[in-house]
Amino acid sequence: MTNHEPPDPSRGEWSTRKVFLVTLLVMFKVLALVLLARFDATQFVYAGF
Amino acid sequence: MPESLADLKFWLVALAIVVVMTVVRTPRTAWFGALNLGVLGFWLGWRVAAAAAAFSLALWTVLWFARRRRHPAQLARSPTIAVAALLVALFSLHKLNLEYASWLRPVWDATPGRVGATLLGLIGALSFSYVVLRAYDMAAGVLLSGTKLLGPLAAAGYLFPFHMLLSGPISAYREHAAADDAGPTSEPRRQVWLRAVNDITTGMLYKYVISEYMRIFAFGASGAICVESVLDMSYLFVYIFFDFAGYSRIALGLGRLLGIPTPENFRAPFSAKTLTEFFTRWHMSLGKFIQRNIYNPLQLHLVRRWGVKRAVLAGILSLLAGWLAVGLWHRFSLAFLCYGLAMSLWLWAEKMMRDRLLRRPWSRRPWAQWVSAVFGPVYVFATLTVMLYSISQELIRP
Repeated sequence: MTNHEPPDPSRGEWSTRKVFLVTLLVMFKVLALVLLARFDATQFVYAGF
Repeated sequence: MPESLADLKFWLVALAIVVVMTVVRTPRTAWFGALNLGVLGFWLGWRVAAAAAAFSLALWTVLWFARRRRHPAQLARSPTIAVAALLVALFSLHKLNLEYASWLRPVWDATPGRVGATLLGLIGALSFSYVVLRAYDMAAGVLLSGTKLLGPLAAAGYLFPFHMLLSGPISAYREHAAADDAGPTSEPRRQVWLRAVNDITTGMLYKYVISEYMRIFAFGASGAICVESVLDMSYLFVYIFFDFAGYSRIALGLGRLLGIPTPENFRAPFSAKTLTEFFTRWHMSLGKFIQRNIYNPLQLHLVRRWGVKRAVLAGILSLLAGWLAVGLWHRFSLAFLCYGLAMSLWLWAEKMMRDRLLRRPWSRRPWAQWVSAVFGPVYVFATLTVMLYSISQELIRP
């Protein structure tokens, strides 16, 4: 409820370096999700997976 | 109604609709509305889709008639008030939590064909999924701000978007209506996809890994949440963030892929140095809704009526009204009413204090900035944890 808002850091076209790093990060997250689902299913079952 | 996005059916239909939306051009909102009803039918059943279509058509019809009669000099006040009253009544019915009232259960169950229970379920779905807030934003946008009225199909897409159905965020009607007129984005398509997949995977990690591990760590393997101390409340606070922000981030990613305006809901709220800043970063779409529909119009109205000499009083009253609405939005109860009242007073006191401190020359020095950056987030987290602890029993009640 104020007029000032924090800047959105995601605006603008990304540099090649940023694209590479985000791709790496996405791959890491997908791997983590898949591994957790495969070897430690308890939490996923609990979450409704 | 499934309460989790971790539903294979959901992701199958989401993928299908993303593929179709990549191909279609204009009008995007109408296409989305039609496809969205199909998604609701496949995911949640034809009754939900039919109820969504009927509600959208009814609201569109009322707004269409109200708009036809509208003239700049004589706004069709009676339909506007009728729509607002109906939406507030629907919202109030749900927020009174009647569906959980044990004394009413036999009454609902005894109605012929369990009509009462079905009706309560519908009212619950309308409010829980923020449909009423979107409907209000649409009515206010069309009748008061002159935003164009989308067709009934597009309205169904705005009111019941499948990716924002369970817990928001509350998209602005004006932005949704403008989606048809917006030209092609300058952002490369590859980058849009990468950002979307980044949002979805981050959201899934937040919601299904971090928040769930946190819940088990803090409240035990059963996962049953109970708050017996301020420490428990602090765990719950962080858990709520990861759960809600994770869900919102998944919705944001899907919105990017669909090309449908989906607002950001959280932006690193725990890094905020003041409570005022915190609420520009926490559940941002609700804050903006309150700002658009309560705070700004009320403040403007009061200043016009009383003059700028009483602008400060107008500001306080608008803040109070906005925060009472936020409090009651959680639930119609005395505890949440007091929460809204306390929060508005606290924010006002904080603003007064900050205004005074910022006038001092030393407040711009590096050491003062450093102290603010380090202790500000601690102050925000501690204050909110204690405030939430005082209403914790109300907070965790279903």
